[in-house]
Amino acid sequence: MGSDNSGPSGLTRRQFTQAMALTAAAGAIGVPSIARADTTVNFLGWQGYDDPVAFDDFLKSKGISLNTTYIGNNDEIVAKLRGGGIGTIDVVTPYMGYIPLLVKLDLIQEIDVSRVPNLEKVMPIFRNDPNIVVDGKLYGVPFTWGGGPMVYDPAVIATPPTSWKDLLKPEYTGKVGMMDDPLGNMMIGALVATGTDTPTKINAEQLEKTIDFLIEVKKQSRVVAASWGDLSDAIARGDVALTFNGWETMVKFCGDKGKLVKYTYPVERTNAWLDNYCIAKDAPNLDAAYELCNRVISVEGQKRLAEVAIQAIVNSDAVAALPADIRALYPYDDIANYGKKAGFFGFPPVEPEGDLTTFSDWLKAYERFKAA
Amino acid sequence: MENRLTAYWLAAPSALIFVVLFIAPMAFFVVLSFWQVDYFVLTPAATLANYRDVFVNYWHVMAFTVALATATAVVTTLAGFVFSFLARFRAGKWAQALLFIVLITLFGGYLMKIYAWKTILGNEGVLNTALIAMGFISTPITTLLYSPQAVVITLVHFSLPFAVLPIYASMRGVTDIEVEAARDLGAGRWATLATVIVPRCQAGIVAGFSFVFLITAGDYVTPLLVGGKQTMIGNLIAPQFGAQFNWPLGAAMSLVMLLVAVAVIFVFRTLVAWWSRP
Repeated sequence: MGSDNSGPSGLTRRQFTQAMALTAAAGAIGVPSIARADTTVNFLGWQGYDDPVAFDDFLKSKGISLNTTYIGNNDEIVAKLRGGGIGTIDVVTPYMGYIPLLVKLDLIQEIDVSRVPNLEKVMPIFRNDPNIVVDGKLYGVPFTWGGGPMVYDPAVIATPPTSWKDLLKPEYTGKVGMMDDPLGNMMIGALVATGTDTPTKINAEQLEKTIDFLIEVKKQSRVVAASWGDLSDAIARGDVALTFNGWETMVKFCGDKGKLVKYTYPVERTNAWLDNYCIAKDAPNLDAAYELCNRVISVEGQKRLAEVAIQAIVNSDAVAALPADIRALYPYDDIANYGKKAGFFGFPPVEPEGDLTTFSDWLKAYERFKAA
Repeated sequence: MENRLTAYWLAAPSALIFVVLFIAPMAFFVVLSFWQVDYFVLTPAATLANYRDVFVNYWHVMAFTVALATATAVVTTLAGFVFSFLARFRAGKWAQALLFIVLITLFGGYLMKIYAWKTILGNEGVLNTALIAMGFISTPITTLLYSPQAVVITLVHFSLPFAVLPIYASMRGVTDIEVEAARDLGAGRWATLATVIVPRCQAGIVAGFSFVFLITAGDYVTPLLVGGKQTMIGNLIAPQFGAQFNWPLGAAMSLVMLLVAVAVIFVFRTLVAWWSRP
């Protein structure tokens, strides 16, 4: 869930699905709970991401108890694993863009597909995402996803724009709402402004163009919202009529406020994210960790995620079992073509790599957009 | 001599708190502002690059912040003065009740007030709906919300108690005798206000202005939620200590802003003193 407000994190998006992701870390890692007969799995991930495995008595029936530590951003996964977490942490839930880095740093282990039978039910677009397969080996169990479409109010915008560039047309002045989501905005901006297919791999000049484009969109906008809830609020209250960057789930947020909104994927495409259960290197409770990985993509676990947290899911059987209204929130029916609408782009380089701009270059450049 | 020593000992705890909580962090930030960050690692240095960055890239945001904070502080101080004046000289036995109401609003919660104003000022908000219903306008006034005005309105509402309390406190020191003496000597209402009451409330007025200016200049939540795309300097400082991980730049921005704030307050104080000159 990298395309969120707080840099590589996803805090803002989660403020809805899992309330505030308080990083109640407090050194809980590495301190096993009081000894008991159960296997205690140490889980490090987003608040709410433990719910699909923990909501019923599945864990109890397997003799597993969960010791959860919640994160506030994806960086914490890297930091905690490097800072002594190896050997004590079992399961982590990174955004797919972080998986190549975690593999490179030797912090997570290959998934033994034979031990996660439910993977067969995971739709190929997620199961085969190139970010989670490194050197032909699978390193994550993808379980939830989402993208950044253009959300619009059909009462005001009868025919939605087909290109992100259309937002610059005079007829939309003052009607656009943006989201303060650095990574997501810059990836969409790069797709539009530079025409690249890989918006995470751009040079300094392309980054410049990207920010210039974002500033143009900002001039057209009424608001750069602090969270998905605020952006939904702005469109639900009629303060804006269409958005730059978005989230499919906004349909639900606005629906709850009594406003019908729709979304569309402009021709330049948009960014998408995919979150995973990964098993840490030297996980002390490997068997139990696999039970969790299999459970989170089971029909029960996935239905729970879709119906309670309103997240998009990956198991095709679970999708088929969803109530129609929940199912309609995401483009499940044409999922094979989702790649034509959105890309799971991952992450810009963290360290210098040729003439490519790094993640810190991006954050620095984004300041110009903020200050404009 | 012994007395003096005792005095030092007695002052030691507060001095310690002052040094540890105010001087030391500030000194740390001064030092930090000359450092740099290399790939997410703080590195000691003696560079002016951060300050250069502030003046080249962020001066316009700083200027906007100062303008907005000054506007808010002036409006709030005026409103606070009027409110205090009514409470002190006109409300009679209701004065305590009025002050109690001011205090009560402090318990209202900061975010609560911001969201309340969103509900009032939006396109389909209370104000626009009412104006349309009464036939004054036919389409909503879109500049009410997501604009600098919205930020000022919200901050004035939030910070009013911080202006009322010090101004009222100093106004309580103005006795009826002083006011009556002025009137007996032939001063009209306005002359009494301008030459007796305002000068006697100098300290309260400056304190109220300062509180409001500082609260506003450092705020970054209000512009985020009701300002639309308005960026104040706080919105750029906060991420330096978070996602951006550029503490040195954040420190430089903070220190420059602090100096500017001190300058603004000094100018205001000088103006009030000039007005109140004998």
